[in-house]
Amino acid sequence: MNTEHDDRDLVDAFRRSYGRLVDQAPSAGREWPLALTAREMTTRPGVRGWMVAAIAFLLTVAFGLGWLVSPAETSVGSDPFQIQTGTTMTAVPETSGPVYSTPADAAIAYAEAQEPGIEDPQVTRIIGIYADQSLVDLRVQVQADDFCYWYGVTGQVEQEEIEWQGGLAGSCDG
Amino acid sequence: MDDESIFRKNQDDLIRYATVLVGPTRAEDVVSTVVVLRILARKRLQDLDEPRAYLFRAVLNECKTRLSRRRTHLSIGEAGMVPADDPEPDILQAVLELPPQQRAATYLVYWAGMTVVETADLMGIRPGTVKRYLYLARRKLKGVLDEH
Repeated sequence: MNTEHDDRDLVDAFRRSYGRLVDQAPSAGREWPLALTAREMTTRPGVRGWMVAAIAFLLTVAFGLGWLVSPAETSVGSDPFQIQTGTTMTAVPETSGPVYSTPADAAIAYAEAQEPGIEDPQVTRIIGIYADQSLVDLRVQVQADDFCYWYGVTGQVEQEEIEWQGGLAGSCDG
Repeated sequence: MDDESIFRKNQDDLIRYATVLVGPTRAEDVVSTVVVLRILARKRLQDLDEPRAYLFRAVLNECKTRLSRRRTHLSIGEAGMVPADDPEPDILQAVLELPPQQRAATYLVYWAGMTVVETADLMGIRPGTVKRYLYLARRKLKGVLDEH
């Protein structure tokens, strides 16, 4: 077998492998709140995101109840960045406990701790994100068969990496 | 072009790139982490000369960080990686065992169809280094193919 033929076979093998991997990539084109959060934070500061953060801070100080946040609610096919005033997320960042490298890991670990016996939980949506200073808050939906909860997870930036911890939960239909 | 437009224009490519590097279940986490860190740093993508290249480099760096934490290679047995009945599991496993830089280079050149120079620009390295990555990756895969 000559070198040129060898190389062609090798390139084809790479293409087949990457083709199968790319087929597994998360579906593209869905609404992704992160981009919307980026827009809020970088081009329109002082509007919704910062207003919500300021309200949360004041409530924290006033009531000493942890962190009370009205999250930006997004959903596919509807207004992509709409604050649902009727719903609130009480995300209390944990000051101790396991730290995870991804929000999905943190949310799933928290789901498993809250719901022993849950089988094969999957993160199905990232619903809302807030970023402020070195803290990031996400609302993540975790689903498994007839189980569906959202979890507030909090990330702390440590040396250019984010360490995630679990937060409080709520029912998907609540 | 504003940050949101830049992100939306590149997000599909970035998620596929991250999928090849860390697998589908972590791809979105990687891409979101890269953008969140940028937001937290109060830096705009639109201020960069080459925001697309920045995003690709940041995704590769984030993937390398995560893979180095694991101290193990990816494997096709991982949830969501590829179907269990993959027709060439040993070839795919060999690809997954390549260092991230070699996987990135081979993906961009052999799958995405970029030239060596374009790949070098996107990865922030010299064309000669891309060629070396391609050579090393081909050599590794050749050993597996020869056993077939």
